[in-house]
Amino acid sequence: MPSSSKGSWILVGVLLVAAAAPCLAVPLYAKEAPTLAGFPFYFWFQLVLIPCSVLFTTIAYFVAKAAFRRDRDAAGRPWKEAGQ
Amino acid sequence: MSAVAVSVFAFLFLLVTILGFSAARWRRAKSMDNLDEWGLGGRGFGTFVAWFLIGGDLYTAYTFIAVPATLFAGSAVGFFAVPYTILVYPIIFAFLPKLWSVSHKHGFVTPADFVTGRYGSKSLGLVVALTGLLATMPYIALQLVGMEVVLEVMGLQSDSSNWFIRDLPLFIAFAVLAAYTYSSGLRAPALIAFVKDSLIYIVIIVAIIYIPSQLGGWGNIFDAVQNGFDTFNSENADAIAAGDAAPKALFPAAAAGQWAYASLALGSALALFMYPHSITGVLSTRSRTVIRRNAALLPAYSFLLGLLALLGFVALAAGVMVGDPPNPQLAIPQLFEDQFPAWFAGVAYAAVIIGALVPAAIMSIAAANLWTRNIYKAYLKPDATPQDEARQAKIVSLIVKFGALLFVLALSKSYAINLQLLGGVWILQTLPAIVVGLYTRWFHRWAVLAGWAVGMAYGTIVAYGVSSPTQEHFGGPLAPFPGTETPIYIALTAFLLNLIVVVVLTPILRALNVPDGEDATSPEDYSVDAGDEGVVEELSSTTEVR
Repeated sequence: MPSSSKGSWILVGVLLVAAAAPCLAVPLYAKEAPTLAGFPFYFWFQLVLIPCSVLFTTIAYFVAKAAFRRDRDAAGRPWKEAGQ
Repeated sequence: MSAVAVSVFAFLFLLVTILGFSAARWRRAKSMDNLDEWGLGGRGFGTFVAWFLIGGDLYTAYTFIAVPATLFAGSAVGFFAVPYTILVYPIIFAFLPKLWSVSHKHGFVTPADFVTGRYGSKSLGLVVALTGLLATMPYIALQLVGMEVVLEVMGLQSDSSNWFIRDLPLFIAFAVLAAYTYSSGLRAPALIAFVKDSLIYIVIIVAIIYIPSQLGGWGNIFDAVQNGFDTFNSENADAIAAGDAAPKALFPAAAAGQWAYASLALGSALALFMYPHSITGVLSTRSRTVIRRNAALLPAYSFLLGLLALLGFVALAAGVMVGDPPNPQLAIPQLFEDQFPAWFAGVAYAAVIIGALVPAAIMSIAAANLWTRNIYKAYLKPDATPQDEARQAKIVSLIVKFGALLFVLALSKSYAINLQLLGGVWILQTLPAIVVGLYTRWFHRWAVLAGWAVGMAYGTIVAYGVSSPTQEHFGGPLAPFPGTETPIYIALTAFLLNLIVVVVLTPILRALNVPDGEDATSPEDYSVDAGDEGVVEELSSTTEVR
């Protein structure tokens, strides 16, 4: 792995941890209030975590894609645009 | 039994049957006589197909029945399915592209193929394959349990005491599934997954909007459930204190329950992608990018699952009756029966039954791949041609399905549920071999084997010893973490023990100069992508469907 992309891969790791870790901190959200549209905090908070996790994973996807290409350029290996 | 509901159901079932058989011609290959085609659908699925296929694979009919059932039954930790699916995708993102690369480079079809190549050990590969088979079989059986409860609510099970007559509809559904899996391979569930997921989405979205509005909104539902639980807990205070009944709660308020919750989510998420059928779905994709993109897109299902889980509370608030003795697994189909007009109930039943067919097909294909590659070819017939492999896998996929069917019908359902619980514990013990193996070859192959054996033995014994108010053995997935009172998911404890054994034994075996197998892979293999030398983009397809 060339040094130029090392930072990017660390960022990918940080983003993935940010996507995964909050749902493990159960004591932070295992409470009734505040409710939202009738949902206790516990339930709506975890449902909101899903799009947040998607956001972090999506950013990680773009960072990883760019880093992967830089790595392959540096190694003189081709990459191509993947289809749909 | 409503004639309208049954007709709608029969129509949708017929539709997927036709799709299943015609799938053999979809993305037509020059020849289906090899495992890359039959067992991995040509390894060329793009983001769109993969999204449906992997989603259809992970969110099974049993999930749709069992997850709301645990909330219905008042288990405070039942909602762990949501953090579990949140955790799954970053894990996929991190390690599966590596597995994809090395598998494409070397033509690996199963996770056990990779382990064999990486550690130069056929026995380690065999152990991973056997664990996969052991864990997958009860999972297929559970899909049948999911189908059975829907057929029961639909009134399609006759009262006959003869088990063959009683379950004839189940037999027919399964025979049809077996036939098109045999002829179309992985293409069949891939195509049917479109119908499955569309139906499931429609049903759940309608259910979570329509039914709560009939019951006075979500606030009312949560209040009604909380009141019901409070009443239960005060009426059964003595039994709860004596350990003869479990207290009911909306969510885990105490630290012990929170540890259980987080450990179930983490352990299940780590285990999920050790299951052979999940890896089959991932290896059928066209490129690394498809996997990572899907890791960002698949959580749409998690949202669905979270809402679906809450339908367990909706069923409680709606006062759904689930028989005597109560069977919480009937809650969701019975809720549909009670609340939906007959024609839409038919759609909902079809969604669950088709939701069982897709994963059952993928699981039987994955099991057949494991048998063929890691037992038949590795031990019984090393000179097997690709045609032999495909023939063998097709027959085994039939045997696996009928084995699961007999299992559920002839033995008791609780066996299947107990074994599924054990399956999760067992399959996680292959993680050091597979996932750690993707990053480093530091582990000694015999240390990995020893760690696996210790994890399997510990997990099985501890799970056997767990009793619940209703069961003497295999009473639940939780046991106190050694040296503490805190309940933790058994699979996770066994996995930690497994890792400790591997880490301690590796330097010892190295110091003793015990031969470590030859690694068939090289570091570059872990980052190859479609288009690289030796990595065929799409094996053989005359049509492009994107």
